[in-house]
Amino acid sequence: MSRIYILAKNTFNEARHNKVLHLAGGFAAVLIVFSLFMGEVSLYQNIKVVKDIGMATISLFGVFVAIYMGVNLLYKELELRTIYTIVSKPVDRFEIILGKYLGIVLVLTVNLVLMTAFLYLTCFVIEFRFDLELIPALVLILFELFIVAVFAVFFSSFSSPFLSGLFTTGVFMVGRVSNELGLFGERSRNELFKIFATSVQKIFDLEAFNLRTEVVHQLPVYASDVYYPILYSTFLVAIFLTFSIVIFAKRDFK
Amino acid sequence: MKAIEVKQLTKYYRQHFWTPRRKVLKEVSFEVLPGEVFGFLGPNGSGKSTTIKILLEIIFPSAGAALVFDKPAGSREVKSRIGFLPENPYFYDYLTAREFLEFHGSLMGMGGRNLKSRIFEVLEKVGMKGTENSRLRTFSKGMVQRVGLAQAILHDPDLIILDEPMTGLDPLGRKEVRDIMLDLKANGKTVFFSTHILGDVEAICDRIAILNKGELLSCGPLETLISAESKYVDILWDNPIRDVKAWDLQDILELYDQVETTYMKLLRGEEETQSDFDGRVNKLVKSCLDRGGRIQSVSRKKESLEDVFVRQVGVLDTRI
Repeated sequence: MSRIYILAKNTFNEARHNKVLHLAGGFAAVLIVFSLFMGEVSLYQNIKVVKDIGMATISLFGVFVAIYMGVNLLYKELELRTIYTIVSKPVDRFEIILGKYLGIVLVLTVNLVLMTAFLYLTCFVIEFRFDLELIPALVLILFELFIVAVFAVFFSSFSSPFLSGLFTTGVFMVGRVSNELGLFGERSRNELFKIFATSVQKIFDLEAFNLRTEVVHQLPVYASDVYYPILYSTFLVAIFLTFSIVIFAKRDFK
Repeated sequence: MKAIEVKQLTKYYRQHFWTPRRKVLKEVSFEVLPGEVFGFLGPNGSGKSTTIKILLEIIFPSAGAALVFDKPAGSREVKSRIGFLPENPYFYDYLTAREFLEFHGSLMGMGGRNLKSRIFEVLEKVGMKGTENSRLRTFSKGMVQRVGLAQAILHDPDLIILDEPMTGLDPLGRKEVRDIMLDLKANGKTVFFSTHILGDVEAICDRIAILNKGELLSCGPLETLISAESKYVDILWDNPIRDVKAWDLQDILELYDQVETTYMKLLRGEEETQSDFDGRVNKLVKSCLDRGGRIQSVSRKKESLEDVFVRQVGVLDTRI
């Protein structure tokens, strides 16, 4: 466990020094501030626009970080051969994957906490209070990011960063339109497509993580709306981390 | 017990899934004994790094076996006894030398005061004292190489594997690394290193192996690989009679010998025995003295490791 922690800490430190992530974080912060002006031009919907744009920005920025880190971290270790000195130590390969993944999880969590704090400060400027009802939506954004990250790590365990990025983005986009895909499947006359569409909807159901509309418009949010996606995320992460570990364990680091 | 034992090690690589497999290691077998400095020689692409990577389980063999301290290479127990410096190392450049060594030390299970004092000790040993708090990105290639070496010996391993450790080092740095290797040997450690620099090998190795195109050409102690017999003789003299051509040396000189006014180089013929060659040298010296010349020096040149290397690698190249 301690080796996994050391590798996770190292991954986190690496992200802390990454200029691309700094730049993207700055851009996301600017977008949240910009939502103030967007709110101004909307009729009596100022705070809702800020919250909606703010959470969408946090989600998109998080997806970028998850994909960027997930596809690059292993690749960089292999490309720069920093992995040689790690593998030559009494470290199992599964510890490398778990350490890297937990490092990314830590980065995503810290990012989300910082961006959330920024969003709350922005909202405070308008309504002079902290709206705790946003928390369930933000928690689900985080668990959705864990899924995106595990797919990025999974794909990067056997393919190039470009392909890994492409595949992960594809999975994310399919996951985000899973409801529409399911409906499309239901109406289709092609049985094969119907099976495919409903399977994809069940496996990559990232729409379940979207509670933004509910919290922004103060619609009821039930406990199951939060617990189910968290369990689903944990299950998916465990499955795809196992796949990554199996692939990584057999891989030659040329 | 052997420090390293490689048996019929074979490795196939495939560039892409649609390209045919290429055999980069061809049934290589050799042994490294505990406490010796072992040089692993070969031109680029000969399979040196591939062998080293298999020993560390960075890659897996296609066939054959690699044992370290009589246990399968790659096991946790074995790895805890190995220190490794990769070729052209690149490390996390945002770390300071101390942070970098702390990271690697903690992966070895080290910690606390022991690790802190050991970091200062190894940095001093590799000539990097005072750089603990400098970031690796500010280091020259040679400094990165040294800090990499510090990382390899940090946990006081029994076997140190170094892949081209002299790369990027100036002559002074190379000497320091050689001294460190000899110091490790004096402390009972085994050093296994690959290199192109044959002078270093001659200076410190107990035994060597020569590899080319994935094939082991020879393996053994230096003195058994390098012939003790003369390869050629250089003779320098003061010549009062400048016209050397006037001398009648036909019965002494062979076609490949070189004759100047005050210098002669006698090459030993491929079929010529050592005693026949010595007889020729003696005749030439006598002939020189008979003509009033004064011999300044007669130096016998033996085969060098470079000659052995070029001969062996060259033979394989022509065969292929």
